Amino acid sequence: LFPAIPGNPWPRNTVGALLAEIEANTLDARTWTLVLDDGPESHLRVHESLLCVADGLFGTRGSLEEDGPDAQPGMFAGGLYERGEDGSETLLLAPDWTSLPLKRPLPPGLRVLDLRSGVLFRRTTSADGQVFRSARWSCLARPGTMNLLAEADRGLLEKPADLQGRITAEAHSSLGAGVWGVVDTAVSALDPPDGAPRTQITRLASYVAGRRVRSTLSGAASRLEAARRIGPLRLWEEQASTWAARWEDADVEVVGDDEVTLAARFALFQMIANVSDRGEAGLGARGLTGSAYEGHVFWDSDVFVLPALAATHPKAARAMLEYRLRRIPAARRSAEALGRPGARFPWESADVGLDVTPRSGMNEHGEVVPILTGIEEEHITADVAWAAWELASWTGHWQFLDGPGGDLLADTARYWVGRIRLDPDGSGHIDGVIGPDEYHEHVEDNAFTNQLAAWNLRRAAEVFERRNSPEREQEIADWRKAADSLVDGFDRASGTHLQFRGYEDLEPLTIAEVGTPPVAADLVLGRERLAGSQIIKQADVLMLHHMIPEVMRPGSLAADMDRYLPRTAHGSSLSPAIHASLLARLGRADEALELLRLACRIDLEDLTGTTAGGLHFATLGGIWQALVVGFAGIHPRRPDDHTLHIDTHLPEQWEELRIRIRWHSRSLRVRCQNDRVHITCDQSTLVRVGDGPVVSVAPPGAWVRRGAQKPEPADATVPPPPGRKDRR
Amino acid sequence: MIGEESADVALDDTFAVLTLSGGDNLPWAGFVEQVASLLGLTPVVLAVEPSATLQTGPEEVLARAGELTIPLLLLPLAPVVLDGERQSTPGIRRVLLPCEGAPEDTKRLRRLVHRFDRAGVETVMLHAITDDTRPQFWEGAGHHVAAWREEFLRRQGTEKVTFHISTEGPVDAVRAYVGDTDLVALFWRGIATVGRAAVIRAVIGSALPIPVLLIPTAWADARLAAHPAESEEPVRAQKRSGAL
Repeated sequence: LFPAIPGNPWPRNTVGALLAEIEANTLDARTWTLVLDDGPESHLRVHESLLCVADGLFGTRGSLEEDGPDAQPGMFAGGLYERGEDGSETLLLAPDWTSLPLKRPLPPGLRVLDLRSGVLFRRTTSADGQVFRSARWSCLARPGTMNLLAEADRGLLEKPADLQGRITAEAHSSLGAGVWGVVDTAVSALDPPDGAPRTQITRLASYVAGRRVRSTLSGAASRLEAARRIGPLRLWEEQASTWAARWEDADVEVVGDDEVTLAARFALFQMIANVSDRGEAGLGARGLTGSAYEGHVFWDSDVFVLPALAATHPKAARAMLEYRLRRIPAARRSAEALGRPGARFPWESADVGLDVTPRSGMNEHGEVVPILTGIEEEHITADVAWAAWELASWTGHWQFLDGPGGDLLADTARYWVGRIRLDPDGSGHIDGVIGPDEYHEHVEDNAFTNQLAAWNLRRAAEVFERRNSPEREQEIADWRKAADSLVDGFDRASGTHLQFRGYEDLEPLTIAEVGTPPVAADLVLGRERLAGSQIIKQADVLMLHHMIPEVMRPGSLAADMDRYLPRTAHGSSLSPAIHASLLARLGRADEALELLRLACRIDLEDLTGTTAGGLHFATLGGIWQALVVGFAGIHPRRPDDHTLHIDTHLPEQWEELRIRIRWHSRSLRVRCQNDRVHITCDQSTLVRVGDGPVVSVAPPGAWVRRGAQKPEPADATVPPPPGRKDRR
Repeated sequence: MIGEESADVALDDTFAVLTLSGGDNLPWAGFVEQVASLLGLTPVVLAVEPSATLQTGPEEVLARAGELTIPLLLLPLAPVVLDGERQSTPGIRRVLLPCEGAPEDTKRLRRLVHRFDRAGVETVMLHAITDDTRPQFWEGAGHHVAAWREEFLRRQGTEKVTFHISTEGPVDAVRAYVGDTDLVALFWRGIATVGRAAVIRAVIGSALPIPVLLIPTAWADARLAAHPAESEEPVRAQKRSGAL
């Protein structure tokens, strides 16, 4: 099974030449590379998260090859959890493939993550002038296959000859699954006549995650052999071309704002890298970049990340939904346990899909306090339904709703029918919930939960009406009746939605009285006073305007924004990007940009103090949504609405916002300016800009001016994607 | 040993013991020897009459101006221990170590906690959240606090401590936790202008029952540079799974 490898199979100095080429490529494009150099040692773990390389199935933190006391290395396999003695499920730590016995102390040096190719490059020099270079990547085209190339001046590596050879590595989960890996390391000496003697390392690793040892081990070995035959140069070329193909439909560029462009590309890069496009893809709150939040799957996945992938690589979004679909039986059991019909998705999900939300946890004072989100943050059930509709809306594939997507809508709708309490006057209520604003627990008639539940019920009814199933007529009628019964919290006097019953009676604090947002309001006021105040953590009512704007009352976005933004702490990392999106839609572009910049900095500058534990994927998804849904104003309304709606609101300092997306089986490149947009398309596309008429744009594309009756001829094209020639 | 100032003791090998009560509190001599052992330094005891102290600090920030001025003058040179109001100490079992969470403190804290740990002394780390140090984002109890706490402690260079966070303000926070500890240890950056060193001013200006050890950061850094081996092997990196 594991034949001995015959030394380094590649020509001498191939490694050095390839490293030189990779280095040259990584240093020429500032909006395509995340460049980090020596910082405080305490930031090493933050850098490990930021520099994670992943292939959809496996994510490897960007740890230094030599570890050190501040390191937190780790590789994680998507969907693979370990069960603790207390029943908790945590992401399984998989065997490592990146460590090398470098003599310390060696500074981190220059590290560059090339977003175009997913290659992490490092160059560092020891105190006595010895140089170490490395490049690593996780093959996007071959999930589970990893490469590490390294070159060290002689003496930097301890006993390099001991590295030569093949090893196997494995990690087992008490849930019956595991990770098996085969790692080949080839070592060669180089004694150039005109330079220092060096040691070169070529390492290939192949990992498989699964439940059957023999098949997974042999699978890993055969994949390794395939990669060995190809060799590092062609693997690198394959990696670059695979990523270039993904960027074809996924880029966001703000002309005139490199900071936002880099942050947006970084967000897209990590979302692409951390979500598989085959099978199922349960994306934890920190993806595969770290172990914080135990790798649990929250609404972050369905509401924040999924839209970006639905619009750029629908297969990956479909895999995310597959994760939920396969856990419908568990969700049904959860509903049944509460004596209710349908399916109730858990606030925190891991392996089998039962709720893994801890029931208690430590607060800032070290006290153990109850955690109610698993019991009360029930909007997750409608969030999952929304994700199914969102995928269908971006792809235009109603067929998905005729199949498993529609079944998911039905199961969740049934849950809401059983969850609603009817008053004698016929009004429907949902009691004892937590909305997105987690400062207020156990509230009644949370507008977000009620309205999203009503939306869920109506979409299910619509889908099954189209299926023309007479046997479901009564159930469809029940769904509509339940939806119509639910109070929506709208207050006619103020023209706003009340976040929940009794909200207006709370202490009328504004956030200006607490601090300058973002501010951890709970640390200022204390939990008790905070819960008795009108200060909110993040978008709650406003989240409705973001997710289901088409059903919100006309004009209520501005009124709700005026009511809730001055009361919002942005204590959650989910908050700034969503507000940026909504403010942009309102035409308050400068305020929107300020919050977008804040969102962009959350991980890149570790504003939460927790990026070391992994990236905040909801924030990454939120950045994309703010740019595409907010500033560009592109929001698919329905799966059967075959017109692309664009309503751009750009800040003055932005020259142009350029977006590449897939929409309704089309590959589109959209150049947004405030008075016109340019569409490059591969099929004729119906476009409506702002409130103007619907016009048809034929390939290769055209400008559409706001209010114009027909498109203008194309006079420019978006620059080509970042293929190798551009990088050079 | 106390008071035996020797010409062959280098300045950076000493620390000052300041008895603000004028030397009446010397029953804590054994305590001083234990501090000396912890730091690997030789104590030099100075008895100071409060009335004899200098009056150079801004009054609005020096609650007990006379008692503060001397240690602030001495601090750039070496650590200082000020006696507390408690008349006897049982020895050092637990040290209260307030910290601000600044990245540059990592090595210093790691060294100190390592020394405490080696001597069998428990460190009670206290992070008093102020307007300057309050996190911007805070998701609340559970996962977020666990992740934040783990990372915060690793940034201080150690996880081998009892850890408390307080939102009550530095003075109240220290007062809340001194009762169960025997010594307060504080790093000081040597900037005594108005608005700086607020925690130190508050702590040593508030008549704590237990002694306070003040360590100048410049001195600590010089020690780290001179004795790098002492800071080795403090906290192991997370073990790589199936390490190669």
